[in-house]
Amino acid sequence: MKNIFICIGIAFVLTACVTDKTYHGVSEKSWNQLTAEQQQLIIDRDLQQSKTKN
Amino acid sequence: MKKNYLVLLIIFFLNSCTPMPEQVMPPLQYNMPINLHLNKKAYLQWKVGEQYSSTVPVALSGNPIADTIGVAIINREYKRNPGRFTFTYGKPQQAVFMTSLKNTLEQQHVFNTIEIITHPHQINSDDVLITVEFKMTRVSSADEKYKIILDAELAIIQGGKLQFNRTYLVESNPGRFFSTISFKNQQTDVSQQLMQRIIFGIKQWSYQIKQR
Repeated sequence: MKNIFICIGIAFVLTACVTDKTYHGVSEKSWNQLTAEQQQLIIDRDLQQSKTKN
Repeated sequence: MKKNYLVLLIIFFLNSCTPMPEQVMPPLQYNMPINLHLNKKAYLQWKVGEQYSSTVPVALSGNPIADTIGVAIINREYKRNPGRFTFTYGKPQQAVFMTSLKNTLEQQHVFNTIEIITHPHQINSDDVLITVEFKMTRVSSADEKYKIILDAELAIIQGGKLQFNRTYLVESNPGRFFSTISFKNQQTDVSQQLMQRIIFGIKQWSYQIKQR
């Protein structure tokens, strides 16, 4: 029983430590697959959207 | 006790072996000749509408203790890193689509120049504004193999007037039974269908203006 609690504890700690970065609402893994032009387009679009909201 | 560990391990293994939601399609290729040239400057505007995504279902073992623990841990992961578990045709895919469309129109010299814009403030009356709005993008559930459905609108505006307007509904082929098509390939499939429709729409519009 003790072992299972240790196991659960380790799993919780491990999952708590790993949080993926996001760039403009896109996960790091997806972001890194884009070209500079595509990344710039997302940045420009987000910027424009925030201007429109303000 | 050992059985519980084993079942927990199996749950983690199954959940880590799910299809890759974070994969993004490569730039689209359009190899067919468009055979159209308009002596105009064009702008391409990208608009984003509603997005419906689908999440990876949790694989359960049937063992109540292991399932409770497994589900709790996985739910925690879902909240921390939603991108890992969410299938969507979102900003990355749409950005790839828009740049691919621009590059295709540029390479085939359909217009004198073409530029992607996020706001149509710099457009002159003789310039052409092509708006592609992803009105609705939807990814179906795991049962439907994450089939992608796109509802997009093409609008062509010149001199402040709407000259051409079409709505296109396209869906990917998720494969059958054991021949499942990857999510990345489904993105390419559905995007290529949409690109063909949009290029056909631009051709239709050009015939209309030539007949006037």
